[in-house]
Amino acid sequence: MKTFIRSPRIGLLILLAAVPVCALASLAVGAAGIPLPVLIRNLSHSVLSVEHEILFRIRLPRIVLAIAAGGALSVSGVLLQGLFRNPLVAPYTLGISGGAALGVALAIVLGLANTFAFSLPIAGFTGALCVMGIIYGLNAARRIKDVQGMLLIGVMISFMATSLFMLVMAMSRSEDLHGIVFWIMGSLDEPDIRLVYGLAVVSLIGLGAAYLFIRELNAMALGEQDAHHLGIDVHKARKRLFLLASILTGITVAVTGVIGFVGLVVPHFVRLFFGSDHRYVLAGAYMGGAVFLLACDALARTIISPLEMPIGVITGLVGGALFISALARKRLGVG
Amino acid sequence: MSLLSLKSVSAGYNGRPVIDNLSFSVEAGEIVGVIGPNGSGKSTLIKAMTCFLPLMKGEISFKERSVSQMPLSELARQLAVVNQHSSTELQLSVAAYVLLGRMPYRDRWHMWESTEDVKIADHAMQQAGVMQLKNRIFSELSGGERQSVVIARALAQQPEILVLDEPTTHLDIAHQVNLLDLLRRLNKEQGLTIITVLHDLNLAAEYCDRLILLNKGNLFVEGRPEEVLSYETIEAVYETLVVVGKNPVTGKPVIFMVPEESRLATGVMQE
Repeated sequence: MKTFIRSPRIGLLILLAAVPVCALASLAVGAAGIPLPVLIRNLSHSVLSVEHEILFRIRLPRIVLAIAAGGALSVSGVLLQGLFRNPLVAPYTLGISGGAALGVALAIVLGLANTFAFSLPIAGFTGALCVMGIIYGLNAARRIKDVQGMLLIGVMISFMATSLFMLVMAMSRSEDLHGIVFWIMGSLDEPDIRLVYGLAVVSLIGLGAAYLFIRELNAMALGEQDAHHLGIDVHKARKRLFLLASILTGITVAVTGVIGFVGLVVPHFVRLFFGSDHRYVLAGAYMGGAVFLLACDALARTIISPLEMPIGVITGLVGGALFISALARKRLGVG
Repeated sequence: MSLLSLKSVSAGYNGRPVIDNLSFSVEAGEIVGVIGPNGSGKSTLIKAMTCFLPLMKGEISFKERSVSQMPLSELARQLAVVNQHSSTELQLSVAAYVLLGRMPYRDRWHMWESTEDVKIADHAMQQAGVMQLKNRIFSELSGGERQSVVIARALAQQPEILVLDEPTTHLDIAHQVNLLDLLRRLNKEQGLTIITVLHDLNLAAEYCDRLILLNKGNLFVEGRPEEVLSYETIEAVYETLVVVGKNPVTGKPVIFMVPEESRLATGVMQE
């Protein structure tokens, strides 16, 4: 398929402009309709009003969270797709989300939900960490021959985590069930502002760290043997990329719950437009993920206003439709 | 002093050696061909020689230094490899692809190539004769073009040794000859040492200074093509009947195959 890789820099500039535009648009839409002049007045002056409260206490954190989560999941997707050389791998494929969901479900069922600060995010991250530890440990002990083996083991662990998760659900009380289901659907509605800005910082650090693996990512796109011949220690690279991607995913999932499809679809599209050079793909994926999640969130908040659709429903539907249309075009040789 | 020498090297998979107790050395400025039947360990030898496969036994040294002790990026500056299976999916321009060959010269804090790198990559593309493909997309090239571009990338590594694993597979005869002519030129003009696995014995005879014939993981015989490619040797290793003649132009050995029908008809088998 034709790509637009002759001008990846222009693509980056377009995305760079799209992020604030989408953020502003997202700021303007929602259940409480705030007219544009009021919005601008509130942005330029600090006025004490209901609109001000809504904008800065409710919508702004959401927007920051959408950018951070979208960026982190997409970057993580790029890292894993690059590592496994497989466009169908997503941050959740390896069971990170399954582990997180299991951790959260256990915490809710055991009544730990409100016992200490950040209990659910900590439980989620612990679950993700356990899955990560198993895969990493098997890989480090050289029990796994190649990346395909690593991928398969990840998928199996994902299935096992999902089964255990269902077991916990089956054994839980109905009021706990609601909490679990609510969490698993994912949400950008995070009441604790510290988690929001924390994730924003983490996602940017993750992006910066990913740029330190540019050589590995670009070389491994040629295949592991070619990467080796270009002076890359493939085994080390595999471990580090996996660790970075899963920590990024684990933290994001712990804060937002399971928001699917971002980490699968966005990297795919960014590669389509930017080509195989990760120096462009990484930044493109961060911004693309941010734009995608901002747009999906705006849609989720308005489509059945004043009620809200779960964000995961929108990302799945929109992302899936985009993905299928891209694949169908590829089949037909258009574009 | 040999440029590269192998001393009783064994290597393989899952604890079973595929090449066993192999020793030979390569002098600077040579073109060495590695030949042998399928499964004789040619590709394994290449993987072991380039440290992709850990050795089970023995030692490989480059200029008297153990290769396994060298940092990988340093090895990549001395020894470039053109693989049999390279990814064809890459959405990169040819220029960007060739620049990947400069990777061993940068650390992780230098993300972009220097102007020096670009100059070297340009030179490599000129040498490999792919300058006109510079702005094409790698995945859209034909097999022959792609192979030359891969060689340009290897040249951008500015290696002392170029190692190739069956570089002529999937190429038509014109592209095969062009590719090997290119390797010959690089060898003559710059003294580049070349080690290449070749399936085609006639190409090996024509272009290599020295041949290493592997059989079942062992070195069967090595020497000049005229010495190695006798019909006794080939029949013993490949277990098929051949006739060895001479290329009327170059005087190098040429191997003719004898199909079963002709074998029966002429009764060569009884000889």
